[in-house]
Amino acid sequence: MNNNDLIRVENLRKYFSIKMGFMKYHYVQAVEDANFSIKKGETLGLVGESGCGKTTLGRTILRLHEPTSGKIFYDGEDITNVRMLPYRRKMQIIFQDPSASLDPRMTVGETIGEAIDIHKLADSRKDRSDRIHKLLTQVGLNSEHANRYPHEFSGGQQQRIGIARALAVQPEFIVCDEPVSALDVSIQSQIVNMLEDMQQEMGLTYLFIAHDISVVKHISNRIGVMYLGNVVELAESNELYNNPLHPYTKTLMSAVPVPDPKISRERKRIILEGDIPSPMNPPSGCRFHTRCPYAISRCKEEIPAWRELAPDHFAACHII
Amino acid sequence: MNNMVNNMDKKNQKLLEVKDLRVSFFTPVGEVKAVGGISYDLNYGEVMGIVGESGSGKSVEAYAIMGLLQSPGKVVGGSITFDGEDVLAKSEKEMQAFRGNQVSMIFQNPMTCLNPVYTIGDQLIEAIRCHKKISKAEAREKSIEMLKLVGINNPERRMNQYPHEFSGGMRQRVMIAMGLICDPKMLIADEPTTALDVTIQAQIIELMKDIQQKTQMAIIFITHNLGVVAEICDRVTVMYAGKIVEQGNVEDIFYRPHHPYTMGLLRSMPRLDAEEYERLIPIEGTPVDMLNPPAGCPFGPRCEHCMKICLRREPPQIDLGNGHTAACWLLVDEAKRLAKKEETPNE
Repeated sequence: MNNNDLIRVENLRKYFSIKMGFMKYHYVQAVEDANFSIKKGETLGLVGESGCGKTTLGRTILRLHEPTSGKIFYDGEDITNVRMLPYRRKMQIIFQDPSASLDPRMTVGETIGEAIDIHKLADSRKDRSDRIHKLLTQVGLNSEHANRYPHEFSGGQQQRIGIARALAVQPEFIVCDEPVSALDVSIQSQIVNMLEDMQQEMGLTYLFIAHDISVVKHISNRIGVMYLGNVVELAESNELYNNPLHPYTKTLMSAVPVPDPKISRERKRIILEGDIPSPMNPPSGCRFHTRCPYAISRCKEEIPAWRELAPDHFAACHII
Repeated sequence: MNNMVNNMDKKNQKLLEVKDLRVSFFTPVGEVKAVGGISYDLNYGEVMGIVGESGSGKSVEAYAIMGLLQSPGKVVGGSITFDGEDVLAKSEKEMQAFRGNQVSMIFQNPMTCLNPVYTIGDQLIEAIRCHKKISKAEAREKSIEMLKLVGINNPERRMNQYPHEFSGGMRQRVMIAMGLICDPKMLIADEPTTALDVTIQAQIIELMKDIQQKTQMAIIFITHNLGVVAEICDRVTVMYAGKIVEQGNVEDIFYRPHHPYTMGLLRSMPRLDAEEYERLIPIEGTPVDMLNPPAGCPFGPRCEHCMKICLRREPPQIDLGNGHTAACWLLVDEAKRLAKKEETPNE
C-alpha cells in the first residue's frame, strides 16, 4: 500500500435487499467491486448518471451504509469493522440538498455547535462560540448569522452552513455529494471556489460526487466514471477528457452540452440507444453491453477485468 | 401536417408578440412582481431560448402565454398577441381551444404531467379528440404515428401501457408526442431536459432539433443550462429578476455579450473543453429578494461595474443592432460620461 493514500477501497460492494414476498429477497446491486484509492490532498471526482451508485459508494466509504463485502482503509487502517466515532471526526460529508440536511428547528449556531460538542473539541463556552463564529466567517457568512434559523437563508447560504458544519470538526477527508447541483449557476461557482480555497488552506482531501461533468472536471485531479454500480474508468482529469478509453466515458463526454454555439453544433456526438437497465437485474458480463455501440459476444458473457491501460489510467473493457 | 406548410410559408413573419407583460403574485406579505414588463417577438419557425436563474420569471412568463397562471398570480399589464389574436382577451373556453391546438407546452417533470391511472394511448387519444372531430380509430392511428416520430419502439404495444412502465426519458418523449399531436404553431418547453441524465438529455435534444427541422414549428425553450441553449436555439433572451437584461441571436449572446450579468454567467461556468485549469470567476452576492427588489437595475447590487445611477434608475433597453438589445447603463453614452466624472471628482 502506498503511504500517500488517505482512502483505499478494495473490492467494495454494496447490495441493498428488497423484500419481494414471504422469505424472498431481491438485491439491488448498487456498488460492485470498487477498487481505487484517494491520495492525501487530492480531489477525486466521481461522475455517472442517476442510479449508477456514486452516492452509495461515497456513503459506504464513510460507512453510513455498511458494506456488503470488501474493505475500506483510512490512512492505512482497516475501518471496515471498527467503531466509527473517532473516524467521524476525520471524515465528513456535505449533502446535496442544503435545506433538507439542516434541522429547521435548530439555529445555525446550534447545528454547528452540536458537532463540536459531540467530539468535545471546545475547552470552554467561549472557545465554542469563537469556533462557531470563525467557521461562519470562513464560509463567507457573518457571526450574527449563528442565531438565525435555516429558513432565513438562501440556498447558497444554506450550503455554506452545511459546509461550516462539516468543517467544524476539522476533518481531513470530505465527501462532497452533489454539493452544487441544487444551486443556481451564478452561485455554483462561488461554492466551488470556496471548496477549493478550503482545500488549499486546510489540506483537505475530497471525494467530489456530481453528475455535472464540467464541474467535476474543473475541481478534480482524477475522475472515476461509474455505470450501473461499476467504476468503469479512472484517470487524471485532462487525460480522461482528451483520451477516454471506455465507450461509456466517450459517450458521456460527447453528451455534455458545451456553452459555445459553434463548437456544439459542429462536433459529433455519440447518442446512446435506450435507457439504463435496472440495477436489480443488471445485464450479464459487462453491464454496459446492452447499450454499447462496440459490444461483441464476449462482452455478454465475461465480466471485464479492471486493468491499468496507461500509467494511472484504469478501465474495465474487453475491446481496448 | 397543414401547419407545416404554413410554417414554411410564413418564415420570418411575426408569430408571437409580447409587449410590456407584467405578472404579479399577490401574497399575504406583499406583491411579488415576478415578471416586471418584458417585451419580445418570436417569428414562425424560430427557436428562442429563455435563460435565467430560479425566480427570474422565465416560467411564469410562459404560463401567462398559456393562460395557466393560478391565483394569486395575475397578469397586471401588457399584451400578448399570438398569430394576430389577443391572447389575454380570450375567455376560458377559447383558451381551451387555444392550448394544445395553437400552442402546447411540455414540462420539466414528465411523471407529474401524465395521469398515472390512464394508459398512454388513452391520454394521447384524449388530447387529439379534445381539439379535432375525428374517430377513435383515426386518433389511435395518429397517436401511434406520433409515438413513432418521437422514437418510441413498438408503439402499438406501448399505447396500452401506463406511465409508470416508461423510463424518465421515454416519458418525456411521450410528453413531446402529446404536445405535438395537434400540430401546434408553437411549443413551449419548460426545462424539458433538466430532470434527465446527460445521455438522455442528448437524446431528447437531438429529437427536438429533428422535429423542429421537420415541422418548422416555433419553440420557446426555457432553461438555465447555457450549454443546451447553445445547441438548439436561434435567439436567446436572458432574464434576471423578472426583467429581460439582454436579447439577441445565439452568436451575439455567446460571443459578444454586453450585459454584465450575461458576461458573468458565461464566465462563471466551468468549461469541459478547458485545457488548463482556470479559477472560476463567480458572480458575487445573492439572488434578488423578489419581495423587496432593489431600486434601479435589479442586477445593480451584484454588478462589478455598478454606478450610482444603476441603483437609482432602471436602465433603458439599448439597441446594439441586428436585433441585439441589452438593458444596462454602461451602454448609455451619457452614463459613461457621468461615471467618468464620478471616478475623478477633483478635476
